[in-house]
Amino acid sequence: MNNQPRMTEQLDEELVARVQQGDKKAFDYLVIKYQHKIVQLVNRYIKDPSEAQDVAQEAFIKAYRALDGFRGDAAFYTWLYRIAINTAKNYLVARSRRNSNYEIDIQDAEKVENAPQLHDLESPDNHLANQQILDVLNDAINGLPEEMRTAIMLREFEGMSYEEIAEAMDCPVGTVRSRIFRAREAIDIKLTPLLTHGDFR
Amino acid sequence: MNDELKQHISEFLDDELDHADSLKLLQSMQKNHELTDTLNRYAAISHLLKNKQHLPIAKDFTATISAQIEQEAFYLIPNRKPTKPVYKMLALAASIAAIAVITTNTIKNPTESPQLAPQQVAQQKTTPPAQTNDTEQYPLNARINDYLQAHNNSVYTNGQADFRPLAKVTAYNSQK
Amino acid sequence: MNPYKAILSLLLFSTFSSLALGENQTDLPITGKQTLQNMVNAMQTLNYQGTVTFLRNGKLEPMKYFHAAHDGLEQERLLSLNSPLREIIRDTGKVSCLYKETKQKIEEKRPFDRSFLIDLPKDINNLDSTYTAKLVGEEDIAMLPSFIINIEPNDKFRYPRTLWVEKQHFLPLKAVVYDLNNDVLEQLLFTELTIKDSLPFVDSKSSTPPPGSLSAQQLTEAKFLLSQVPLGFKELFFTSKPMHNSSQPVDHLLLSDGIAWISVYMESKPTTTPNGLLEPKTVQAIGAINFYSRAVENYEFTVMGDVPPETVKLIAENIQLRDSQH
Repeated sequence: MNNQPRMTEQLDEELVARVQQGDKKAFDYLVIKYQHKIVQLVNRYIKDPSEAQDVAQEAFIKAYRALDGFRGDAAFYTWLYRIAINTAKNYLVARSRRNSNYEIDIQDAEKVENAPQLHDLESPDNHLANQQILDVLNDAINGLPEEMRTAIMLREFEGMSYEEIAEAMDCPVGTVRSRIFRAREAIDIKLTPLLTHGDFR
Repeated sequence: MNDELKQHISEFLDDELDHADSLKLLQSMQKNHELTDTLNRYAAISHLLKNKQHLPIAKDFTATISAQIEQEAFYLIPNRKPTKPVYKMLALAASIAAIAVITTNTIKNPTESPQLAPQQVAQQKTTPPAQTNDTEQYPLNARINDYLQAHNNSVYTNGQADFRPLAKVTAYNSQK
Repeated sequence: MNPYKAILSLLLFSTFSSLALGENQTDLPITGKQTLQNMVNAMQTLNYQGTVTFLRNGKLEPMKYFHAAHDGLEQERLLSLNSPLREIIRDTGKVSCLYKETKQKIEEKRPFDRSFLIDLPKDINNLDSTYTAKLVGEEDIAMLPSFIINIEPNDKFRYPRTLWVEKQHFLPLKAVVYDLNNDVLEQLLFTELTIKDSLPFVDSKSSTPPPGSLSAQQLTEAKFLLSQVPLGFKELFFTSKPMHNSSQPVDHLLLSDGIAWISVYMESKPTTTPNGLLEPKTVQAIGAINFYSRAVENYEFTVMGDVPPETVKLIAENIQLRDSQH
């Protein structure tokens, strides 16, 4: 039985309770835990990575302010997810009203999820840089040993739990943990020279 | 950074790390930004694989939020009790003990500009501002009403009962 | 228990609790600026309702007020208690007003979301160059203990304000705008206020959508420019759209210093003046809002804002047409 959701929710519950009792550091932990998910979620609505980060930060701050009223009716991440979407939508509405260059319809933003045409919004330089990164990624994946490649593909594309992957690959869960980690590490080593972190301005 | 720690980060990304280790890892990541960077890089790889797009996270992402929250020290007051019963109790006590409430209604810190002290504020004129040579009060006319309506929301909360000019705007709106 | 003893106990308790609360309600020291920031945050995130009275132009307008907040969204709603009976709703990006008796509905798109109650920037630090906030005392408003905050402008181009902010949840209970002689221009006051766990969002969608759209234009597209504007006022929004039952566009430029807002309107000089063009060289007022008109070549400009008469006049008298700038 997959205990993942329950484990992560328990951790969130504990951290939320701590924040509600005044432990601000516990909120830092929640930010660390969910920052990449919220940025990726906001990025579906707001293409510019720098703006997406700003809006994601605003969503976290809104969540912090509203945390006193959070009663745990929904899972914390579900609640945070809704705040992030609403914050992103509000931002789009405000931006389109204030700047005639951004006539983006929110319904369009919601429909166009991961659609290839989004990349047309990139500048040529960014597109080229992204393509280079993808090329290196493809090389890194192709260079992985078979078991590591399979493990990471099952995890990333099928969303399978470690237990499910272990069953599919007929190996212990510990082996799956190691294979996925080593696959990520191998990709990371190849990509790190190419990637810049957070330098958008 | 040793491999065991990085493997924990990898498992944490997949929600496969147990509760105790997750908490320990978060505590470490909060102090050691290199660990958070590793988590974000692994997450960026995951996003790249699924979306064919590079989306890194700024190194100071958490620190920026942390700094903002630090300024809000007094908002999230710990152990606040539900307030409705307290309000009701105060309202009841106040209605019975009006004198008791009034005696506590004093200013703790006198203002440097006495004309803005609450008692004096209460005594301020509330009639329209004194007329000067250059200012005059005119009733609303349609054009100014339109300007006001576009300017802010005060046209809706205006104490003027005569909103006939607005009816014209309504007709215009409905025609377009 | 003897009923008289019970009342006496309650009297003593209420006195004690009021004194105790008045003495050191929060153990933490707090500044005017922090109180304002807390207030801005509370206004956006809490669910609350009450009865608020607006005092403007010597007239009282009591209204029922509701603020609903949920998952990062918020809605404000006002129900008038006097005629004309109306319901005004503010959602993200728009304000709608339904007149209950005539069933007429007005919807306006708004470039900025501004509370019916008090306008302050999300980040109070943005006011540092133009205003000083000071915690000057405490007082009970609507039987709720509150901090008194004076917001003093750093020059004579804007009005001072005083806010009374409830101490426990930091919601505004009273706000007064003064003129430069410290006479009250406008005031709002809550006579009762309660916090709710949640409040419903009211559907304000109209069966007929609002006419046209509010599309922002580049500030450089304005046919005029402001050559003198007091410190801190930023040009935030510009649009050109028809007004007054005619197809002729009116240019509208919106500026703000974070608290005060100024609009500059430009339109062609009308050939007739059915509703009375404003007399030149006269600043007029509605509550805290002053307005001043001036003709420049074939155009008439009106500057309007909750700022002193000298400010609207200064801006209006230093408007220049872009074409003449060579």
